[in-house]
Amino acid sequence: MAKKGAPPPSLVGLLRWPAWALALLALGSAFAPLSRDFLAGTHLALCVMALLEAGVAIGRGRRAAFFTYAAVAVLTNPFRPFVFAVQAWRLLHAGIGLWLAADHLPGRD
Amino acid sequence: MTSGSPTPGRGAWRDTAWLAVAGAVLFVTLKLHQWQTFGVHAELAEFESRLHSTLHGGFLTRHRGEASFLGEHVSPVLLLLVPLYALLPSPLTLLVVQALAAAAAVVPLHRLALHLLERRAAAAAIGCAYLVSRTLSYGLMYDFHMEIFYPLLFCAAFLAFERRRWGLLAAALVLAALVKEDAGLAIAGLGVYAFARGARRAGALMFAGGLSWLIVAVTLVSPAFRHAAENRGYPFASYWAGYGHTQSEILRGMLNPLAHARVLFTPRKLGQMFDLFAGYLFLPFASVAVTVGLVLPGWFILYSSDNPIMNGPILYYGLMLLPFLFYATLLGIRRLARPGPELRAGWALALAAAVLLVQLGNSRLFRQLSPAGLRPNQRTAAARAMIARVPSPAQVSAQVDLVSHLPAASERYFLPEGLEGASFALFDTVGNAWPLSPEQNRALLGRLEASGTWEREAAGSGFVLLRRRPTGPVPATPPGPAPARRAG
Repeated sequence: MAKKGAPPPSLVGLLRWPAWALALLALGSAFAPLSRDFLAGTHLALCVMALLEAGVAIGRGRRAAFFTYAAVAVLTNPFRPFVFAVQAWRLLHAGIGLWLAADHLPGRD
Repeated sequence: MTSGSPTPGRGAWRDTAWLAVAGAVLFVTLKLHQWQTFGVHAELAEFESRLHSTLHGGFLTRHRGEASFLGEHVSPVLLLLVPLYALLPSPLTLLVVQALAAAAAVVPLHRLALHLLERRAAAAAIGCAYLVSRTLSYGLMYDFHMEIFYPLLFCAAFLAFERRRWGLLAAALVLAALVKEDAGLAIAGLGVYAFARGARRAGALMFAGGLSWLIVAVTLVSPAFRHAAENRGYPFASYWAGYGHTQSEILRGMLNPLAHARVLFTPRKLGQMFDLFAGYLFLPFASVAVTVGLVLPGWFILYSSDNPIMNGPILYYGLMLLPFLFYATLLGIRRLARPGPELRAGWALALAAAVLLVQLGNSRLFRQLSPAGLRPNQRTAAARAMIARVPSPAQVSAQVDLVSHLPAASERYFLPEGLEGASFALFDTVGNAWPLSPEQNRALLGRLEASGTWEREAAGSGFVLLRRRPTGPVPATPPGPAPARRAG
Protein backbone atom coordinates (compact mmCIF):
# COMPACT_ATOMS: atom_id res chain seq x y z
CA MET A 1 0.00 0.00 0.00
CA ALA A 2 1.42 3.34 -0.98
CA LYS A 3 2.39 5.68 1.81
CA LYS A 4 1.62 9.35 1.43
CA GLY A 5 4.14 12.13 1.81
CA ALA A 6 7.78 12.62 0.94
CA PRO A 7 10.08 9.61 0.86
CA PRO A 8 11.91 8.98 4.12
CA PRO A 9 15.37 10.51 4.43
CA SER A 10 18.34 8.44 3.38
CA LEU A 11 21.83 8.31 4.83
CA VAL A 12 22.74 11.17 2.47
CA GLY A 13 20.67 13.59 4.53
CA LEU A 14 22.16 12.32 7.79
CA LEU A 15 25.71 12.67 6.46
CA ARG A 16 25.28 16.21 5.18
CA TRP A 17 26.12 18.06 8.41
CA PRO A 18 29.13 15.92 9.38
CA ALA A 19 30.32 16.16 5.77
CA TRP A 20 30.16 19.96 5.83
CA ALA A 21 31.87 20.05 9.23
CA LEU A 22 34.66 17.85 7.89
CA ALA A 23 34.85 19.92 4.72
CA LEU A 24 35.31 23.03 6.84
CA LEU A 25 37.95 21.27 8.92
CA ALA A 26 39.81 20.09 5.81
CA LEU A 27 39.67 23.52 4.20
CA GLY A 28 40.73 25.21 7.43
CA SER A 29 43.59 22.78 7.90
CA ALA A 30 45.01 23.92 4.57
CA PHE A 31 45.84 27.22 6.27
CA ALA A 32 46.68 25.97 9.77
CA PRO A 33 49.78 24.45 11.35
CA LEU A 34 49.62 20.70 10.73
CA SER A 35 50.89 18.81 13.75
CA ARG A 36 51.36 15.04 13.47
CA ASP A 37 48.46 14.26 15.83
CA PHE A 38 46.12 16.73 14.16
CA LEU A 39 46.96 15.23 10.78
CA ALA A 40 46.33 11.68 12.03
CA GLY A 41 42.99 12.60 13.62
CA THR A 42 41.80 14.52 10.57
CA HIS A 43 42.80 11.67 8.29
CA LEU A 44 40.98 9.08 10.40
CA ALA A 45 37.78 11.15 10.27
CA LEU A 46 38.15 11.77 6.53
CA CYS A 47 38.84 8.08 5.87
CA VAL A 48 35.73 6.90 7.77
CA MET A 49 33.59 9.54 6.06
CA ALA A 50 35.02 8.69 2.64
CA LEU A 51 34.25 4.97 3.07
CA LEU A 52 30.67 5.70 4.15
CA GLU A 53 30.25 8.09 1.24
CA ALA A 54 31.71 5.49 -1.13
CA GLY A 55 28.97 3.08 -0.02
CA VAL A 56 26.31 5.76 -0.49
CA ALA A 57 27.72 6.51 -3.95
CA ILE A 58 27.40 2.85 -5.06
CA GLY A 59 23.82 2.68 -3.85
CA ARG A 60 23.03 5.71 -6.01
CA GLY A 61 24.91 4.43 -9.04
CA ARG A 62 27.47 7.31 -8.86
CA ARG A 63 30.55 5.41 -9.95
CA ALA A 64 32.80 8.46 -10.47
CA ALA A 65 31.91 9.62 -6.95
CA PHE A 66 32.73 6.13 -5.65
CA PHE A 67 36.19 6.35 -7.19
CA THR A 68 36.74 9.82 -5.73
CA TYR A 69 35.75 8.74 -2.23
CA ALA A 70 37.76 5.53 -2.54
CA ALA A 71 40.81 7.61 -3.51
CA VAL A 72 40.24 9.87 -0.49
CA ALA A 73 39.94 6.81 1.78
CA VAL A 74 43.19 5.37 0.43
CA LEU A 75 45.04 8.70 0.72
CA THR A 76 43.87 9.30 4.28
CA ASN A 77 44.02 5.72 5.56
CA PRO A 78 45.52 5.61 9.05
CA PHE A 79 46.97 2.09 8.74
CA ARG A 80 49.60 2.68 6.06
CA PRO A 81 49.76 6.49 6.09
CA PHE A 82 51.14 8.25 3.05
CA VAL A 83 54.06 10.57 3.70
CA PHE A 84 53.89 13.81 1.73
CA ALA A 85 55.39 17.24 2.22
CA VAL A 86 53.20 19.53 4.33
CA GLN A 87 52.45 21.72 1.32
CA ALA A 88 51.18 18.69 -0.58
CA TRP A 89 48.85 17.79 2.33
CA ARG A 90 47.55 21.37 2.38
CA LEU A 91 46.60 21.12 -1.29
CA LEU A 92 45.04 17.70 -0.81
CA HIS A 93 43.04 18.85 2.22
CA ALA A 94 41.77 21.87 0.31
CA GLY A 95 40.73 19.64 -2.60
CA ILE A 96 39.04 17.11 -0.34
CA GLY A 97 37.24 19.86 1.56
CA LEU A 98 35.93 21.47 -1.61
CA TRP A 99 34.77 18.10 -2.96
CA LEU A 100 33.02 17.15 0.29
CA ALA A 101 31.23 20.49 0.49
CA ALA A 102 30.26 20.52 -3.17
CA ASP A 103 29.02 16.93 -3.09
CA HIS A 104 26.66 17.77 -0.23
CA LEU A 105 25.10 20.91 -1.61
CA PRO A 106 21.31 20.92 -1.16
CA GLY A 107 19.36 19.56 -4.11
CA ARG A 108 21.68 16.65 -4.79
CA ASP A 109 19.44 14.11 -3.00
CA MET B 1 39.58 -11.28 26.13
CA THR B 2 40.67 -8.29 24.13
CA SER B 3 39.63 -7.60 20.57
CA GLY B 4 43.17 -8.35 19.51
CA SER B 5 43.32 -11.80 21.05
CA PRO B 6 44.51 -14.40 18.56
CA THR B 7 42.46 -17.22 20.09
CA PRO B 8 38.82 -16.21 20.24
CA GLY B 9 36.95 -18.05 22.97
CA ARG B 10 33.90 -17.43 25.14
CA GLY B 11 33.92 -13.71 24.48
CA ALA B 12 33.72 -14.45 20.79
CA TRP B 13 30.65 -16.60 21.34
CA ARG B 14 29.10 -13.63 23.14
CA ASP B 15 29.79 -11.54 20.02
CA THR B 16 28.11 -14.20 17.88
CA ALA B 17 25.09 -14.28 20.16
CA TRP B 18 24.80 -10.46 20.20
CA LEU B 19 24.95 -10.27 16.43
CA ALA B 20 22.33 -13.00 16.02
CA VAL B 21 19.96 -11.51 18.58
CA ALA B 22 20.36 -7.97 17.21
CA GLY B 23 19.76 -9.23 13.67
CA ALA B 24 16.73 -11.27 14.70
CA VAL B 25 15.10 -8.41 16.64
CA LEU B 26 15.79 -5.93 13.85
CA PHE B 27 14.58 -8.16 11.03
CA VAL B 28 11.47 -9.43 12.82
CA THR B 29 10.58 -5.82 13.64
CA LEU B 30 10.99 -4.76 10.01
CA LYS B 31 8.91 -7.68 8.70
CA LEU B 32 6.12 -7.16 11.24
CA HIS B 33 6.02 -3.45 10.42
CA GLN B 34 5.88 -4.32 6.73
CA TRP B 35 2.91 -6.60 7.46
CA GLN B 36 1.10 -4.10 9.68
CA THR B 37 1.40 -1.34 7.10
CA PHE B 38 0.19 -3.52 4.22
CA GLY B 39 3.61 -3.45 2.59
CA VAL B 40 3.66 -7.18 1.79
CA HIS B 41 2.65 -8.11 -1.73
CA ALA B 42 0.93 -11.16 -3.21
CA GLU B 43 3.72 -13.71 -3.18
CA LEU B 44 3.36 -14.23 0.57
CA ALA B 45 -0.23 -15.31 -0.07
CA GLU B 46 0.96 -17.65 -2.81
CA PHE B 47 3.50 -19.38 -0.56
CA GLU B 48 1.03 -19.56 2.32
CA SER B 49 -1.57 -21.10 0.01
CA ARG B 50 0.98 -23.71 -1.08
CA LEU B 51 1.58 -24.76 2.52
CA HIS B 52 -2.14 -24.57 3.32
CA SER B 53 -3.00 -26.75 0.33
CA THR B 54 -0.41 -29.33 1.38
CA LEU B 55 -2.19 -29.65 4.71
CA HIS B 56 -5.52 -30.02 2.94
CA GLY B 57 -4.91 -32.69 0.32
CA GLY B 58 -2.92 -30.73 -2.26
CA PHE B 59 0.82 -30.72 -2.83
CA LEU B 60 2.34 -27.24 -2.81
CA THR B 61 -0.39 -25.87 -5.06
CA ARG B 62 -1.45 -22.27 -5.07
CA HIS B 63 -4.95 -22.76 -6.49
CA ARG B 64 -7.28 -25.70 -6.99
CA GLY B 65 -6.37 -27.69 -10.09
CA GLU B 66 -3.02 -25.96 -10.48
CA ALA B 67 0.24 -27.87 -10.83
CA SER B 68 2.56 -28.17 -7.85
CA PHE B 69 5.14 -25.43 -7.22
CA LEU B 70 7.79 -28.10 -7.77
CA GLY B 71 6.92 -27.86 -11.47
CA GLU B 72 8.10 -24.26 -11.32
CA HIS B 73 11.06 -24.55 -8.97
CA VAL B 74 12.52 -27.63 -7.34
CA SER B 75 12.19 -26.35 -3.78
CA PRO B 76 11.30 -29.30 -1.53
CA VAL B 77 12.67 -27.27 1.38
CA LEU B 78 9.18 -25.76 1.56
CA LEU B 79 7.90 -29.11 2.80
CA LEU B 80 10.04 -28.65 5.91
CA LEU B 81 7.92 -25.59 6.71
CA VAL B 82 4.64 -27.52 6.55
CA PRO B 83 4.79 -28.89 10.15
CA LEU B 84 5.57 -25.41 11.49
CA TYR B 85 2.73 -23.92 9.47
CA ALA B 86 0.41 -26.65 10.75
CA LEU B 87 1.24 -25.53 14.30
CA LEU B 88 1.03 -21.80 13.53
CA PRO B 89 -1.20 -21.39 10.46
CA SER B 90 -0.66 -17.73 9.72
CA PRO B 91 1.17 -15.67 7.10
CA LEU B 92 3.14 -14.20 9.99
CA THR B 93 4.76 -17.61 10.46
CA LEU B 94 6.41 -17.26 7.06
CA LEU B 95 7.41 -13.65 7.67
CA VAL B 96 9.04 -14.50 11.01
CA VAL B 97 10.77 -17.54 9.50
CA GLN B 98 12.08 -15.24 6.76
CA ALA B 99 13.46 -12.77 9.32
CA LEU B 100 14.98 -15.44 11.57
CA ALA B 101 16.59 -17.32 8.67
CA ALA B 102 18.20 -14.08 7.44
CA ALA B 103 19.51 -13.26 10.92
CA ALA B 104 20.65 -16.82 11.73
CA ALA B 105 23.17 -16.75 8.89
CA VAL B 106 25.28 -14.33 10.90
CA VAL B 107 26.13 -17.17 13.33
CA PRO B 108 28.12 -19.35 10.89
CA LEU B 109 29.40 -16.24 9.06
CA HIS B 110 30.78 -14.72 12.27
CA ARG B 111 32.36 -18.04 13.29
CA LEU B 112 33.85 -18.31 9.80
CA ALA B 113 35.24 -14.77 10.08
CA LEU B 114 36.76 -15.64 13.46
CA HIS B 115 38.31 -18.75 11.94
CA LEU B 116 39.80 -16.88 8.98
CA LEU B 117 40.66 -13.48 10.48
CA GLU B 118 41.52 -14.70 13.99
CA ARG B 119 40.43 -11.42 15.59
CA ARG B 120 37.16 -10.61 17.31
CA ALA B 121 36.90 -7.00 16.14
CA ALA B 122 37.47 -7.91 12.49
CA ALA B 123 34.99 -10.79 12.69
CA ALA B 124 32.39 -8.58 14.35
CA ALA B 125 32.83 -5.99 11.58
CA ILE B 126 32.12 -8.65 8.96
CA GLY B 127 29.09 -9.89 10.91
CA CYS B 128 27.72 -6.34 11.07
CA ALA B 129 28.48 -5.80 7.37
CA TYR B 130 26.31 -8.83 6.55
CA LEU B 131 23.41 -7.62 8.70
CA VAL B 132 23.36 -4.17 7.08
CA SER B 133 24.04 -5.30 3.53
CA ARG B 134 21.74 -4.03 0.81
CA THR B 135 21.48 -7.40 -0.97
CA LEU B 136 20.26 -9.08 2.23
CA SER B 137 17.78 -6.28 2.79
CA TYR B 138 16.31 -6.72 -0.68
CA GLY B 139 15.79 -10.43 -0.03
CA LEU B 140 14.52 -9.93 3.50
CA MET B 141 11.98 -7.28 2.58
CA TYR B 142 10.61 -9.27 -0.34
CA ASP B 143 7.31 -10.91 0.65
CA PHE B 144 8.63 -14.43 1.18
CA HIS B 145 10.89 -16.56 -0.97
CA MET B 146 12.80 -19.72 -0.19
CA GLU B 147 16.18 -18.24 -1.23
CA ILE B 148 16.28 -16.59 2.19
CA PHE B 149 17.70 -19.92 3.46
CA TYR B 150 20.75 -19.69 1.18
CA PRO B 151 22.91 -17.40 3.37
CA LEU B 152 22.41 -19.61 6.44
CA LEU B 153 23.00 -22.91 4.65
CA PHE B 154 25.93 -21.82 2.53
CA CYS B 155 27.67 -20.01 5.42
CA ALA B 156 27.25 -23.20 7.47
CA ALA B 157 28.75 -25.15 4.57
CA PHE B 158 31.75 -22.78 4.31
CA LEU B 159 32.40 -23.02 8.04
CA ALA B 160 32.15 -26.81 7.89
CA PHE B 161 34.57 -26.87 4.95
CA GLU B 162 37.11 -24.66 6.70
CA ARG B 163 36.94 -26.89 9.77
CA ARG B 164 36.90 -30.07 7.64
CA ARG B 165 33.61 -31.19 9.21
CA TRP B 166 32.50 -33.28 6.25
CA GLY B 167 29.22 -34.53 7.73
CA LEU B 168 28.06 -31.01 8.52
CA LEU B 169 29.21 -29.83 5.09
CA ALA B 170 27.19 -32.56 3.37
CA ALA B 171 24.09 -31.80 5.45
CA ALA B 172 24.29 -28.05 4.75
CA LEU B 173 24.80 -28.59 1.01
CA VAL B 174 21.97 -31.14 0.72
CA LEU B 175 19.62 -28.67 2.42
CA ALA B 176 20.88 -25.86 0.15
CA ALA B 177 20.20 -28.05 -2.88
CA LEU B 178 16.62 -28.49 -1.65
CA VAL B 179 16.09 -24.71 -1.65
CA LYS B 180 16.13 -24.25 -5.43
CA GLU B 181 17.61 -25.92 -8.46
CA ASP B 182 20.19 -23.16 -9.08
CA ALA B 183 22.01 -24.17 -5.88
CA GLY B 184 23.49 -27.03 -7.92
CA LEU B 185 25.70 -24.64 -9.89
CA ALA B 186 26.91 -22.88 -6.74
CA ILE B 187 27.71 -26.23 -5.10
CA ALA B 188 29.66 -27.27 -8.20
CA GLY B 189 31.64 -24.02 -7.96
CA LEU B 190 32.36 -24.66 -4.29
CA GLY B 191 33.64 -28.06 -5.38
CA VAL B 192 36.08 -26.38 -7.78
CA TYR B 193 37.33 -24.16 -4.96
CA ALA B 194 37.62 -27.08 -2.51
CA PHE B 195 39.56 -29.03 -5.14
CA ALA B 196 41.94 -26.10 -5.63
CA ARG B 197 42.39 -25.89 -1.84
CA GLY B 198 43.56 -29.52 -1.80
CA ALA B 199 40.35 -31.25 -0.71
CA ARG B 200 40.39 -33.25 -3.95
CA ARG B 201 37.86 -35.94 -3.10
CA ALA B 202 35.34 -33.65 -1.44
CA GLY B 203 35.78 -31.08 -4.20
CA ALA B 204 35.18 -33.62 -6.96
CA LEU B 205 32.13 -34.95 -5.13
CA MET B 206 30.68 -31.46 -4.70
CA PHE B 207 31.34 -30.59 -8.34
CA ALA B 208 29.78 -33.78 -9.68
CA GLY B 209 26.93 -33.76 -7.18
CA GLY B 210 26.06 -30.11 -7.78
CA LEU B 211 26.00 -30.38 -11.57
CA SER B 212 24.11 -33.69 -11.48
CA TRP B 213 21.46 -32.21 -9.19
CA LEU B 214 21.05 -29.18 -11.45
CA ILE B 215 20.53 -31.40 -14.51
CA VAL B 216 18.22 -33.86 -12.73
CA ALA B 217 16.17 -31.07 -11.15
CA VAL B 218 15.66 -29.12 -14.38
CA THR B 219 15.20 -32.03 -16.80
CA LEU B 220 13.46 -34.67 -14.66
CA VAL B 221 12.04 -33.46 -11.36
CA SER B 222 10.52 -30.15 -12.41
CA PRO B 223 8.84 -31.48 -15.62
CA ALA B 224 7.37 -34.40 -13.65
CA PHE B 225 5.34 -31.95 -11.57
CA ARG B 226 3.98 -29.97 -14.48
CA HIS B 227 0.64 -30.78 -16.04
CA ALA B 228 0.87 -32.82 -19.25
CA ALA B 229 -0.73 -29.98 -21.22
CA GLU B 230 1.89 -27.49 -20.10
CA ASN B 231 5.09 -26.77 -21.88
CA ARG B 232 7.64 -29.30 -20.56
CA GLY B 233 10.57 -26.91 -20.88
CA TYR B 234 12.11 -24.97 -18.00
CA PRO B 235 9.53 -22.25 -17.30
CA PHE B 236 12.14 -19.53 -16.75
CA ALA B 237 14.25 -20.31 -19.83
CA SER B 238 13.16 -17.01 -21.38
CA TYR B 239 15.33 -15.18 -18.83
CA TRP B 240 18.33 -16.41 -20.81
CA ALA B 241 16.88 -15.38 -24.18
CA GLY B 242 20.17 -13.70 -25.06
CA TYR B 243 21.54 -17.15 -25.87
CA GLY B 244 18.57 -18.47 -27.85
CA HIS B 245 14.82 -18.81 -27.93
CA THR B 246 14.33 -22.44 -26.93
CA GLN B 247 15.89 -24.43 -24.11
CA SER B 248 18.14 -26.36 -26.51
CA GLU B 249 19.12 -23.16 -28.35
CA ILE B 250 20.07 -21.57 -25.04
CA LEU B 251 22.23 -24.54 -24.07
CA ARG B 252 23.92 -24.50 -27.49
CA GLY B 253 24.37 -20.74 -27.26
CA MET B 254 26.15 -21.15 -23.94
CA LEU B 255 28.84 -23.15 -25.72
CA ASN B 256 29.64 -20.09 -27.84
CA PRO B 257 32.19 -17.76 -26.19
CA LEU B 258 31.12 -14.86 -28.41
CA ALA B 259 27.56 -15.22 -27.18
CA HIS B 260 28.84 -14.94 -23.60
CA ALA B 261 30.80 -11.81 -24.45
CA ARG B 262 27.72 -10.29 -26.09
CA VAL B 263 25.29 -11.21 -23.28
CA LEU B 264 27.44 -10.76 -20.18
CA PHE B 265 29.40 -7.63 -20.88
CA THR B 266 26.88 -5.03 -21.93
CA PRO B 267 27.56 -1.50 -20.61
CA ARG B 268 24.51 -1.67 -18.33
CA LYS B 269 25.49 -5.02 -16.84
CA LEU B 270 29.12 -3.95 -16.38
CA GLY B 271 27.90 -0.97 -14.36
CA GLN B 272 25.67 -3.19 -12.24
CA MET B 273 28.54 -5.63 -11.65
CA PHE B 274 30.72 -2.74 -10.55
CA ASP B 275 28.07 -1.61 -8.06
CA LEU B 276 27.74 -5.12 -6.67
CA PHE B 277 31.44 -5.86 -6.20
CA ALA B 278 32.40 -2.34 -5.07
CA GLY B 279 30.43 -3.05 -1.87
CA TYR B 280 33.04 -5.69 -1.07
CA LEU B 281 35.90 -3.41 -2.22
CA PHE B 282 36.62 -6.00 -4.94
CA LEU B 283 38.26 -8.21 -2.30
CA PRO B 284 36.55 -11.37 -3.65
CA PHE B 285 38.91 -11.11 -6.64
CA ALA B 286 42.09 -11.34 -4.56
CA SER B 287 42.68 -14.92 -5.70
CA VAL B 288 41.96 -16.81 -8.90
CA ALA B 289 40.63 -19.97 -7.23
CA VAL B 290 38.22 -17.93 -5.12
CA THR B 291 37.05 -15.92 -8.13
CA VAL B 292 36.50 -19.00 -10.28
CA GLY B 293 34.99 -21.30 -7.67
CA LEU B 294 33.06 -18.96 -5.40
CA VAL B 295 32.18 -15.86 -7.40
CA LEU B 296 31.82 -17.01 -10.99
CA PRO B 297 28.86 -19.45 -10.69
CA GLY B 298 26.53 -17.04 -8.88
CA TRP B 299 27.74 -14.15 -11.01
CA PHE B 300 27.02 -16.14 -14.16
CA ILE B 301 23.46 -16.99 -13.09
CA LEU B 302 22.72 -13.32 -12.43
CA TYR B 303 24.31 -11.70 -15.46
CA SER B 304 23.82 -14.35 -18.16
CA SER B 305 20.14 -13.55 -17.74
CA ASP B 306 18.60 -10.54 -19.44
CA ASN B 307 16.11 -10.10 -16.60
CA PRO B 308 17.00 -6.63 -15.20
CA ILE B 309 15.76 -7.63 -11.75
CA MET B 310 18.32 -10.44 -11.66
CA ASN B 311 21.04 -8.12 -12.94
CA GLY B 312 20.27 -5.66 -10.11
CA PRO B 313 20.37 -7.94 -8.23
CA ILE B 314 17.24 -6.94 -6.38
CA LEU B 315 14.43 -8.83 -4.64
CA TYR B 316 15.69 -12.27 -3.61
CA TYR B 317 17.96 -12.82 -6.61
CA GLY B 318 21.17 -11.80 -4.87
CA LEU B 319 20.65 -14.14 -1.92
CA MET B 320 22.57 -17.06 -3.41
CA LEU B 321 25.62 -15.01 -4.34
CA LEU B 322 25.58 -13.06 -1.04
CA PRO B 323 27.16 -15.73 1.23
CA PHE B 324 29.70 -16.54 -1.47
CA LEU B 325 30.70 -12.88 -1.71
CA PHE B 326 31.18 -12.67 2.05
CA TYR B 327 33.23 -15.88 2.09
CA ALA B 328 35.30 -14.65 -0.85
CA THR B 329 35.76 -11.28 0.88
CA LEU B 330 37.01 -13.02 4.03
CA LEU B 331 39.44 -15.06 1.95
CA GLY B 332 40.55 -11.89 0.15
CA ILE B 333 41.19 -10.10 3.45
CA ARG B 334 43.10 -13.10 4.75
CA ARG B 335 45.22 -13.21 1.63
CA LEU B 336 46.09 -9.51 1.75
CA ALA B 337 46.63 -9.46 5.51
CA ARG B 338 48.82 -12.54 5.54
CA PRO B 339 51.74 -12.02 3.21
CA GLY B 340 53.88 -14.26 5.45
CA PRO B 341 53.13 -17.00 7.97
CA GLU B 342 51.61 -14.53 10.48
CA LEU B 343 48.32 -12.70 10.01
CA ARG B 344 48.73 -8.93 10.33
CA ALA B 345 45.89 -8.08 12.70
CA GLY B 346 45.89 -4.39 11.83
CA TRP B 347 45.47 -5.08 8.14
CA ALA B 348 42.70 -7.59 8.70
CA LEU B 349 40.86 -5.16 10.97
CA ALA B 350 41.34 -2.23 8.59
CA LEU B 351 39.99 -4.16 5.60
CA ALA B 352 37.08 -5.64 7.55
CA ALA B 353 36.20 -2.20 8.92
CA ALA B 354 36.42 -0.71 5.42
CA VAL B 355 33.99 -3.35 4.11
CA LEU B 356 31.64 -2.60 7.02
CA LEU B 357 31.73 1.16 6.38
CA VAL B 358 31.06 0.78 2.68
CA GLN B 359 28.21 -1.67 3.34
CA LEU B 360 26.85 0.72 5.96
CA GLY B 361 26.94 3.62 3.52
CA ASN B 362 25.16 1.47 0.97
CA SER B 363 22.63 0.11 3.47
CA ARG B 364 18.86 0.55 3.27
CA LEU B 365 18.51 0.43 7.05
CA PHE B 366 18.77 4.19 7.56
CA ARG B 367 15.77 4.71 5.34
CA GLN B 368 13.88 1.78 6.83
CA LEU B 369 14.51 2.83 10.43
CA SER B 370 13.88 6.55 9.94
CA PRO B 371 10.72 7.97 11.57
CA ALA B 372 9.16 8.31 8.12
CA GLY B 373 10.05 4.71 7.28
CA LEU B 374 8.43 3.43 10.48
CA ARG B 375 5.36 5.66 10.20
CA PRO B 376 2.08 3.70 10.52
CA ASN B 377 -0.21 3.42 7.54
CA GLN B 378 -3.31 5.55 8.16
CA ARG B 379 -5.47 3.36 5.92
CA THR B 380 -4.78 0.09 7.75
CA ALA B 381 -8.02 0.09 9.76
CA ALA B 382 -10.09 0.78 6.65
CA ALA B 383 -8.34 -2.02 4.77
CA ARG B 384 -8.94 -4.49 7.60
CA ALA B 385 -12.61 -3.49 7.84
CA MET B 386 -13.02 -4.05 4.13
CA ILE B 387 -11.31 -7.45 4.25
CA ALA B 388 -13.52 -8.48 7.18
CA ARG B 389 -16.57 -8.07 4.91
CA VAL B 390 -15.33 -10.84 2.58
CA PRO B 391 -16.70 -14.23 3.66
CA SER B 392 -14.35 -17.19 3.77
CA PRO B 393 -13.88 -19.42 1.91
CA ALA B 394 -14.58 -17.58 -1.32
CA GLN B 395 -12.76 -16.85 -4.54
CA VAL B 396 -11.44 -13.32 -4.27
CA SER B 397 -9.39 -11.18 -6.61
CA ALA B 398 -7.82 -8.39 -4.57
CA GLN B 399 -5.25 -5.70 -5.05
CA VAL B 400 -1.69 -6.94 -4.76
CA ASP B 401 -1.00 -5.55 -1.27
CA LEU B 402 -4.29 -6.79 0.18
CA VAL B 403 -4.21 -10.42 -1.00
CA SER B 404 -1.99 -11.78 1.77
CA HIS B 405 -4.37 -10.41 4.41
CA LEU B 406 -7.27 -12.52 3.12
CA PRO B 407 -7.73 -15.92 4.80
CA ALA B 408 -5.73 -18.80 3.32
CA ALA B 409 -8.87 -20.92 3.04
CA SER B 410 -10.05 -18.61 0.25
CA GLU B 411 -8.98 -18.88 -3.37
CA ARG B 412 -6.86 -15.74 -3.49
CA TYR B 413 -5.76 -13.97 -6.67
CA PHE B 414 -4.26 -10.57 -7.19
CA LEU B 415 -6.04 -8.24 -9.59
CA PRO B 416 -6.65 -8.60 -12.47
CA GLU B 417 -6.05 -12.37 -12.16
CA GLY B 418 -8.86 -14.71 -11.15
CA LEU B 419 -11.71 -12.28 -11.83
CA GLU B 420 -13.56 -14.68 -14.11
CA GLY B 421 -14.37 -17.05 -11.26
CA ALA B 422 -14.27 -14.63 -8.36
CA SER B 423 -17.21 -13.84 -6.11
CA PHE B 424 -15.54 -10.74 -4.71
CA ALA B 425 -13.13 -8.15 -6.08
CA LEU B 426 -11.31 -5.82 -3.70
CA PHE B 427 -9.81 -2.69 -5.24
CA ASP B 428 -7.48 -0.10 -3.77
CA THR B 429 -7.96 2.89 -6.01
CA VAL B 430 -5.19 5.00 -4.46
CA GLY B 431 -2.61 2.39 -3.43
CA ASN B 432 -0.31 -0.05 -5.21
CA ALA B 433 -2.10 -1.43 -8.28
CA TRP B 434 0.74 -3.56 -9.69
CA PRO B 435 0.78 -5.00 -12.33
CA LEU B 436 -1.78 -2.42 -13.50
CA SER B 437 -1.15 1.30 -13.64
CA PRO B 438 -3.44 3.37 -11.37
CA GLU B 439 -5.39 4.49 -14.44
CA GLN B 440 -5.78 0.92 -15.74
CA ASN B 441 -6.88 -0.16 -12.28
CA ARG B 442 -9.57 2.50 -12.02
CA ALA B 443 -10.69 1.77 -15.59
CA LEU B 444 -11.02 -1.93 -14.72
CA LEU B 445 -13.12 -1.06 -11.67
CA GLY B 446 -15.31 1.16 -13.84
CA ARG B 447 -15.78 -1.57 -16.45
CA LEU B 448 -16.75 -4.15 -13.85
CA GLU B 449 -19.28 -1.84 -12.22
CA ALA B 450 -20.76 -0.92 -15.59
CA SER B 451 -20.97 -4.56 -16.70
CA GLY B 452 -23.99 -5.28 -14.56
CA THR B 453 -22.49 -8.47 -13.16
CA TRP B 454 -20.92 -6.81 -10.15
CA GLU B 455 -22.38 -4.63 -7.43
CA ARG B 456 -20.64 -2.38 -4.98
CA GLU B 457 -20.67 -4.02 -1.54
CA ALA B 458 -18.71 -1.35 0.33
CA ALA B 459 -16.34 1.54 -0.26
CA GLY B 460 -14.20 3.85 1.82
CA SER B 461 -10.71 5.38 2.15
CA GLY B 462 -9.99 4.52 -1.47
CA PHE B 463 -10.99 0.85 -1.15
CA VAL B 464 -13.88 -0.58 -3.15
CA LEU B 465 -15.32 -4.04 -2.52
CA LEU B 466 -17.37 -5.51 -5.36
CA ARG B 467 -19.60 -8.58 -5.05
CA ARG B 468 -20.68 -10.60 -8.04
CA ARG B 469 -24.47 -10.37 -8.50
CA PRO B 470 -26.03 -13.74 -7.63
CA THR B 471 -27.78 -14.25 -10.97
CA GLY B 472 -25.44 -12.40 -13.30
CA PRO B 473 -23.65 -14.15 -16.15
CA VAL B 474 -20.01 -15.08 -15.67
CA PRO B 475 -18.10 -12.25 -17.35
CA ALA B 476 -15.30 -12.73 -19.78
CA THR B 477 -11.88 -11.79 -18.51
CA PRO B 478 -11.78 -8.01 -18.76
CA PRO B 479 -9.42 -6.55 -21.32
CA GLY B 480 -6.18 -5.15 -19.99
CA PRO B 481 -2.53 -5.99 -19.83
CA ALA B 482 -1.59 -9.58 -19.20
CA PRO B 483 -0.53 -9.80 -15.57
CA ALA B 484 3.21 -10.08 -15.43
CA ARG B 485 4.05 -13.18 -13.42
CA ARG B 486 6.41 -12.41 -10.65
CA ALA B 487 9.79 -13.91 -11.29
CA GLY B 488 10.12 -17.33 -9.80
